[in-house]
Amino acid sequence: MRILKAKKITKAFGGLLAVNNVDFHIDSGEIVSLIGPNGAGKTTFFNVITGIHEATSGEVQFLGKKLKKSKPFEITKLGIGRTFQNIRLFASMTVLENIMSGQYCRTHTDLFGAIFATPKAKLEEKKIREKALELLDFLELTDKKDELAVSLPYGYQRRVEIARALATEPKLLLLDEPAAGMNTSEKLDMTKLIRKISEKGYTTLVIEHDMKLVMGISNRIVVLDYGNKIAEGSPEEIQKNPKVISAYLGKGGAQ
Amino acid sequence: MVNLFIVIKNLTIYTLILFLSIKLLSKGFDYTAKKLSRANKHTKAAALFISAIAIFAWPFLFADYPYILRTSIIVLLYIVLALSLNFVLGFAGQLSMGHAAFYAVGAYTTALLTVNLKVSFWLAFAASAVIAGLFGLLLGIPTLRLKGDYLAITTIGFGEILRLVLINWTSFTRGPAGIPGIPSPKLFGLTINSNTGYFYLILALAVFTVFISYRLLNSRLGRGLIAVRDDEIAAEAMGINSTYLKILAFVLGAVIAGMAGSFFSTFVHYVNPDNFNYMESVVILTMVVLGGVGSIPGVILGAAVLSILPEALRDIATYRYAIYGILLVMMMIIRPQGMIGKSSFKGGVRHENTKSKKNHKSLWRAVGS
Repeated sequence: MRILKAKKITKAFGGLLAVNNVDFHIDSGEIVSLIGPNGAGKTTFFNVITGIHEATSGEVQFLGKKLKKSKPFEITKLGIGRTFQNIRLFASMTVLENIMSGQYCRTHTDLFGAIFATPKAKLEEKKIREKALELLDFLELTDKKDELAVSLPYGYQRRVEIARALATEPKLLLLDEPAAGMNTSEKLDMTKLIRKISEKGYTTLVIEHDMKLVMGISNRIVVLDYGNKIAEGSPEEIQKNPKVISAYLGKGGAQ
Repeated sequence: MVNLFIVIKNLTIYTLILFLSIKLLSKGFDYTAKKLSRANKHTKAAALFISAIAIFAWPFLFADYPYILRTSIIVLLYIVLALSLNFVLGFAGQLSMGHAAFYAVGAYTTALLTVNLKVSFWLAFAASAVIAGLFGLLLGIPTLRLKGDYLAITTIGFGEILRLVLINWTSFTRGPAGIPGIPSPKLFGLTINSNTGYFYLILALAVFTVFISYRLLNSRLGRGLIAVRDDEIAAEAMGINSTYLKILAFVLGAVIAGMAGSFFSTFVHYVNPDNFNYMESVVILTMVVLGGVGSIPGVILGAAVLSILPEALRDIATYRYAIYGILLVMMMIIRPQGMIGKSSFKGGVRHENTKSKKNHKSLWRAVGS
């Protein structure tokens, strides 16, 4: 099933074409990586397909419906969950609470239900907790659940962030540089983790600089450079593609 | 010159006293928080039960000391007010500096309805809550798109506008003369006009406020609010509608401040615009900050300390605001999270198995960020 489809996306900031005529799609269960040198337009493209920016031309379809410019919380509700490049966990919450807060948009208790603890609200609260514990178990964080999330080591914080994004029940999971700032062994863990998440049936789009991680996990790679899509294909194809090599290493690298 | 030296000498002494007492009290609070969070359910229930009995018996213990009883009523009133601001500042993380305005709306609504229209207190009480809530909504919708300092300034502006309207709209509010003769509430044919009666009335309101604070905090909405406070961008990305939640917290805070105002007007039987000036907002804000922003026990303690302090400082009344200032500066340096910080019962102290030292560090780091 086609989860997301972008047709001829162009995004201009004044005279600057940040993204130029890019086609993109992602199918159910895939892991697709978006790579490119600094300033290639990855983040802009990411913001356009998630509806934070409106495309200058072209259109984005998410689950067959046209995606309009929306507020971030509405996009999450539609089914796009994300993590951040610089970790943004809720500092005063424990790991468990962080993940429970991810289920906000899938639950309905209102002020009345919260204050009077109606049976419906209690049941929902119980379900939220169970779901969060399930996710903790899946990401092997159960023994950390009562610690303050920000007091954990870096690698764990990333995992908590992913768990929190999974708690929003996404149809499409966006990981923004999940391995940024990690050491080699942490990167290896992250590679395994992304595979594990994919095996669970989540569709994943990764923006990443680390080639080893990208090559290790991706079904398909899309390369952007100066706003243009210069290549698309399997990791092996991308590694051999002369355009990609020259974009990363300069013209001499391709020869 | 001599006077200046005396003032400086006195302020130095007070500063030293405050420094030492904050240091000592901090140790005490941390120790108690640790003990309490480690205590089992029965101990907690017993502690709660004993304090409940003590509070209920309070008016009888001090029946012969109207001064103590009236001070206790004021303490409870400020606990309600500080907790109402805590919804906005502590839960949603929005700096509102005109909270006394909602208090004023509640007080004046009750005063005008009971004196001019002879409405019963209970109806006026409900109307106060509703009208204060409406003001909260009207102010919240446009201003909560603003952040930090800008929000603070607009809320100060709102508070001042309201006060000036109360002063200048003489045909409606009687201006600076205020509205006297606000009747006492009647309940089942009995008139509540004793200090004991008022004590139980405000106690009920305080308990109600604490109750909804806890229920809200531990619900889906509470988690959403804390998420907005901690990191609004991340909260939005988790599907949390931050504008809606901020307005909700604002309205809830306004409603409860309105109820407190309604109680105030019937308790002192007289309202005038001076009761609701900017300093009043600042005092309420100080209570929340001093006690611990976002921490319910902290806010209660902060409100109690700062409403008893002026009574204790009667002899050095001229230094009162100077001492407030020094106290705040000291707190921000020594203990920025407040007397009982919001994380006191979290993370570090919950783990008995792991090394407490490491956990303590993490707690501090969390508080510092």
